Amino acid sequence: MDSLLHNNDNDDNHLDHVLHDFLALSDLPSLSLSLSLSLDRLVHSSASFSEADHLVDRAFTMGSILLEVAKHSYRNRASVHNSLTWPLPPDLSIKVFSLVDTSSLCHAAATCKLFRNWAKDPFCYSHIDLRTPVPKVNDALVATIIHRAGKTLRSLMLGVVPDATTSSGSCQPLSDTRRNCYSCGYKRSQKDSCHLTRCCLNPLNADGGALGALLRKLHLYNIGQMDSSSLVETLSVCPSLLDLEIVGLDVELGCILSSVSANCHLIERLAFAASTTGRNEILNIQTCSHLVAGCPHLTALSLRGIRIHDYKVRILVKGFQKLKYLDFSRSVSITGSFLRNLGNSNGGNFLEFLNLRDCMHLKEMEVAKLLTAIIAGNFKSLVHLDISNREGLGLRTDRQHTCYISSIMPVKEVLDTRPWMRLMVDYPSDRSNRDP
Amino acid sequence: MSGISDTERMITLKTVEGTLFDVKSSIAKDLKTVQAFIDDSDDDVTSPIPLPNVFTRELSRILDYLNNHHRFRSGIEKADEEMARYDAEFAKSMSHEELKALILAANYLNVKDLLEFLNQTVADVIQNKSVEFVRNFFGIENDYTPEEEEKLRNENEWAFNGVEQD
Repeated sequence: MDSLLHNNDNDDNHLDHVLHDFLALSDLPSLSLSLSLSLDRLVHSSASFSEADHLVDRAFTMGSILLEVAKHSYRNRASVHNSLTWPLPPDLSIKVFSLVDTSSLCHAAATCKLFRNWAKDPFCYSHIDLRTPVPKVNDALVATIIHRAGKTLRSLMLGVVPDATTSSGSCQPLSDTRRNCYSCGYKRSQKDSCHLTRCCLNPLNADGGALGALLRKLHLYNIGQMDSSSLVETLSVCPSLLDLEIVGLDVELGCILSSVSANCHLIERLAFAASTTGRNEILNIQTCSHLVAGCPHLTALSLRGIRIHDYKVRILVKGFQKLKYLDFSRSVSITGSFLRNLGNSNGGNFLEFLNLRDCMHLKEMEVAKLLTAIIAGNFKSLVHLDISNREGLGLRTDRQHTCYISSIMPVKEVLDTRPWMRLMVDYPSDRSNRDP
Repeated sequence: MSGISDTERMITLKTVEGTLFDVKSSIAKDLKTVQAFIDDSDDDVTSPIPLPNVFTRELSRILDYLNNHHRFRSGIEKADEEMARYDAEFAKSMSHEELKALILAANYLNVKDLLEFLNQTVADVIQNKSVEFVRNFFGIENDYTPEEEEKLRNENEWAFNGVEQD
């Protein structure tokens, strides 16, 4: 046994020497010519024709094996180089990976083996960002990625966002025609299925909602085929949800709000931007009361492009004790009268951000009263107020009297009293009479 | 030690090159490695604390960052915007090599806030970039066989279509 090993050692040594000497040949001048001549000499001095053939075959074999061996060695060295060059330890690297979206994670994994190994860690997928600028993601992919996250799952962002780098606060729903193109995918072949269906959230519901229970944040954008019942089913298994954002989905707001009230008692941020077809739904007053009762921790409420009357808004603002952020931009029926006598102990006094941009029925009178109340000291935490309107404020029925920035709106005085405040009053450039 | 409030105490740190830095103990608290050293010492820490893994350039940057952030935090309301602007400039001012060195130093000193910020900076580099770009930026070499790479790209086909090559 010993002698066998000893022999192998010798063999290894011998091979190493031969290889070393062979590789040293690369220093020879005119290497290609020299080798060629050498091989020719060997061939000519062969005993037989077949021996000569054999020799040439061996040259091919050795050549290609050496090439593969060199490539393999190169790759190993590249791996070592990578592990020395990359500055972060594994735990920090995985932390970095958890901060990028899933698509970028796939790219990172494709750069080198080191990254690929880290990209397999479930923690990278705890904040899943599968938003894409065009439809690319299908249900199967969502299921795969959720599965990779496993118990580390904390947040899920899904859907079509024309510019995926926009912050969620400014995301607008896609216009109807574009969305319909995407949701009528039946002409595509099976392989091309790159649309999310109403079942895309099913992995969260499975096993009695085991994964849904972990979810803190859920953002859904422009998923044409999503419907109310599927979404409600998922919301019912997400009791830990803190942040829900729904943009451009064909769902009934009332339904969704009821589900949130019933199941998501911890929720702190709720944002909804209606699809253009959703404009006609009227929220009923019970939905608003239940929402207030069921979600006492809400600090940010954004319901954009909906139809809602002031008395219902008032219930919401007075009811949410911790409300800091309120956005009703592009909503109709709201006149602003809900703001009367608010901003003090009556309610709404923690409000920091109020957006009423492009509310078609917003009345100049109510805005003026709000500004006066601010000067008087109400809404003391307010730092951002947006009352811009692309059609101007006032009575819409009487275009000629639509007021732009008129003298009854004490804009300048507000800014004098609170110079740190951001007050957005973008109105269209004036064509009719305007008060200085 | 008695009679001197915490914020007035000065700690001295010594870098690899031997440069000495006087640091307020309130700032030193953010250097958790240093703080642990202080906590472990029974006596007053009067002699300079050696930091064998930290170079002058990095410590100087870290202290800059911490000083500025402490200033922002105790300041006026609009601090958030100023802080964000400072952070952006801070990240931009460094080359990739400097960023790397800073991360190592911040990791060794266990400066939580700065590390989080640097992690995000690195994540921002990786976000939405092509494979080649990430390799070039970090000086990483491709150690895949062509077959392995092909397989990876196919498995994640959805991610590789339509990305700008830069």
